[in-house]
This record gives sequence, C-alpha cells and structure tokens, in this order.
Amino acid sequence: MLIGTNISDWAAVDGAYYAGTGSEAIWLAISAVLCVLALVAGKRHEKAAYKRVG
Amino acid sequence: MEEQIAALAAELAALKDATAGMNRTAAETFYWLTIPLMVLIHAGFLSYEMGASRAKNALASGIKNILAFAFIIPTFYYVGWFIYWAFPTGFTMSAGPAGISGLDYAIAAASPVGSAMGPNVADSATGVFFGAFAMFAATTASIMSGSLIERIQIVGFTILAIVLGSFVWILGAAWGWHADGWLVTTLGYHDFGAAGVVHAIAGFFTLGVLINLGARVGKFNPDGTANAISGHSMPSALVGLMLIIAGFWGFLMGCVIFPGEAWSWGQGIFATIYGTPVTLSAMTFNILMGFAGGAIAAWVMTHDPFWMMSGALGGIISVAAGLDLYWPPMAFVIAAIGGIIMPLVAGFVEKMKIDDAVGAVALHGVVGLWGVVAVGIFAAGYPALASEGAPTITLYGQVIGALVMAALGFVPGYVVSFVLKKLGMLRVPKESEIIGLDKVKVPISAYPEFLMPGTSSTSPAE
Repeated sequence: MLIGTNISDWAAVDGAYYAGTGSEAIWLAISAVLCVLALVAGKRHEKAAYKRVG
Repeated sequence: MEEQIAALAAELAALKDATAGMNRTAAETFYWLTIPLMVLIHAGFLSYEMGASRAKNALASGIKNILAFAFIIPTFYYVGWFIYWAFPTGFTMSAGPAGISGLDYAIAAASPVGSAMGPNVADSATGVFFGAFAMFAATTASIMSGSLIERIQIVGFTILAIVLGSFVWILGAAWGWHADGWLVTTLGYHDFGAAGVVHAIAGFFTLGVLINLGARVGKFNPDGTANAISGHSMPSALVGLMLIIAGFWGFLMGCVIFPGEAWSWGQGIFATIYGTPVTLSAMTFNILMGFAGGAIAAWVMTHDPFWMMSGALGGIISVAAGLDLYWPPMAFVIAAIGGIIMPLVAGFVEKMKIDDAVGAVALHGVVGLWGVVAVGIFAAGYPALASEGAPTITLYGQVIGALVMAALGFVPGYVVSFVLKKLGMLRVPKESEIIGLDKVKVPISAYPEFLMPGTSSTSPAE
C-alpha cells in the first residue's frame, strides 16, 4: 500500500499520526517540486504572452 | 469518610480534566478564529488593488494578489515557521534565556517533517499558531503587492512575495517579536502589534523593489512632474481598505497569547508575545482610537476618501506597537501624527520619482517605523519582558529596532529585485503594459461588455 495508514484503532493514537507510508519528507519534497514546477510553467506562459504582443 | 474523600477526589480530577479540555479547545478556537478574520485582510487587498488598477489591469492585479497568498502558505510551512523558532538570538541558532528558541527547539517545534507540523492528538496549538503566522506572512506580501501593480511580472512578483513572506519578515519577527529575540532581550524592543516586524519591513522591502522596478509608463513627465494614474474603481478600493481594517482585528487578536496552557505565559489573563500582560479591552480602546485619529488627520490633510481610509489604517499601524500600553486619547494623538506623516511622505516618495501606486512605502514603511519609535517616546520605562531583570522600553531601543527593521526590509527587497531585473523577470515589456496586462495574459475580461468591442451583454440564448 503506497498511500494509507496502518492505524486500525483510534484508542491507540496518542500523538502524531499521518497518512502515507514511507516518510513525511517524500511528501514535503513532492509538494515543493510542484511549487517550483508551477512557477516554471507560469514563467513560460508569461513569456509566450509577452512574445505574442511583440 | 474515606470513600467520600476518594469520590470527591475523583470528581475533582474529572472536573480538572474537563476544565483543561475546555481551556485547550477555547485556545485552539481563539487562534482558529484569527485566521478567517485575517483572510478578510486579503479579501480587502484583493478589492483594493483591483480597484486601484486601471480597468485594463484589474484581473492581472487580482491574480498577483491571490498567488502571493497561495505560494506563501507552503513556503512558510517549509521554512518560515522554522526560522521564527531557530533565529531569535541571531544567526548562531543558540537557545535564548526563555528557552523557547534555537536549533534544537526549532527542530522539535517547527521541522516541516516533524510530528508537530501535522495531525497530532496531543498538540492542539501548533497548527493554529502556524496558520495565524502564515496569515501575517501573506499580509506582508499583500502590502507590497499594491505598490507594484500594472507593470510587474507575475512570477517575478511571486518570487519576491515568497522571499518577503517566508524568509525576511519572519526573521525580523524572530528578532523583535519573540521573548528570546535579541532586540527584546538586549534593547527592550517592544512591538506588540507588529508595526515594525510586519509593516515597516514590508514597506521598506517594497521601496527596494520599486527602485529597480521603475515607474509605470506615463507616470512621470519629462520635466519630472507626476501624473495621477487613477484606478478604475475607487469604491472598490475603499471597501477593500475597510475590509483590511476589519481583518486587522483578527491580526491583532493573533498577537496575544491565550492563558492557561502549557505554552501560555500564565493563568487568567492574556499576555503579549513577550509575556507581559494585556487585555482585549485595552486593545479595543486603542485600535478604535487609532482608526479615528488616523482617519480624521488624513481628512484634514487631503480631503480625499482614499487617503482617509489609508489614514485610518495608518492610525492603527501608528498605535499597533503600543496597543497594550497607551492611554486611549494618547493613542488618538499618536494615530493623528501618523495620519499627518503618511500623505507628506507619499508626496516625498513621488517627488523622488518613485511610483508607489498605493502609497505602501509611506503607509506601512514610514508609519510602521513611526509606530515603533512612538512606543519609545510615549511608553518608555515599562519592562519589556515579564522576567526578572528584564530590560525596559527606551527610545534608544525603539530607534535602533526601527532602523534594523527598515534595513532588514530594504536590503533584501533591493537585492532580490535587482537580480530578477538582470534575469528579465521583473518588469513586463512596454508594449504589454500599454495594451493592458489583462488582455495580454488573462483568459477572461474584468468587464467584457465595456472592454471587449463586439461583446454583447446578452447571450445567444437570450
């Protein structure tokens, strides 16, 4: 199971919990990469828009 | 008898648990409520900036504003919250005297891969504190946003917003808006409502950017005189400013520490971020007096409703640093001075051929500094912290703090915008600016019936 949890009883949860096996760092990295990709895409869109105008 | 005592003890324990639970959820709800109130600030900035733009740029200004908010949330999660807890004592990341700062503390409290920064049934505070601070961060970017309208590139602006909102201001907050902050522990710096750490830093960051960005086409004549470039909807700008003021109540609500929790400063009464006492009542007197003093002074100075509403905001910023300390009529006077300073500084900025479209350098930058210095003039002598032997508030400490805030804002704003300029990511091409940014890069029109020739106000179905 890539995404999900091993928690099957809420009574056993007494602190932090998170969905997703593996590491929180993976999701941190993916979300950060998405932010960078969005900026790159935005820059490309802007550049093309300015070019159309001349 | 023993049985009765045991029953009473059990009942007392249950009562204590219930009270603790109620206090914990009340504290969590308190900070939760600051967040939608602060979202009003962003609704206000959105309306204000679109109104202050010409119709041909209205939606591009809106996009910029929305993106600043959106990008600051994740980036503040990645680094901003960590900076606040790691750097209060300076760049050494050592622990401060209150024991709530430094590298180890930051890793435990704010690591973006740590257990505090997500769902945690044992922690009802971190998420709502983070949320309130993220809203402060987004506010800094919105302060800058309005000044740059109608000629800045969206991605270049977004990068500047991230630098300001997730790196720069929060470093200032660590230094001067934290009980372990070196400005507080060594100079007695006092900035309860963030006049310096939010407003002055954002205003001076904006000044640095404006110098590199340049004025809008047509703003200045060859002889150096300035032309007024009116926005397309003054009512929208005014409503926006009033929304910002409404949101300010949430902003200032987020500046107090709720009592009775493990992370609180004490029991029974709110405290400032420095641990000194404050009440919402004291704040209420002074916020309202600040609004009134600033608006009235700006009316006398300009007779212009735009500057009156800016003056109201400026009045609140003028008294923000000492909201916990001033006598209300004194707050009125301090705010009125801010309302007088603001249009004078805005005129000076224009004379320097700097095109600050909404006057943020004057309103947030210089009036923010005034707010910091005012505490040193009108409220000197109070202990800056609740701990024994704490330094007192002095004019010297406030002036040094104000200079630090101005430099901390200006230098990164100037340097980062200079680099973006060299990379061709700062300013839109002249042709696009003249046509209007909405037509160039926004797929919809703000006012299709008026701005798009041939567009009918009725649909084919009609």
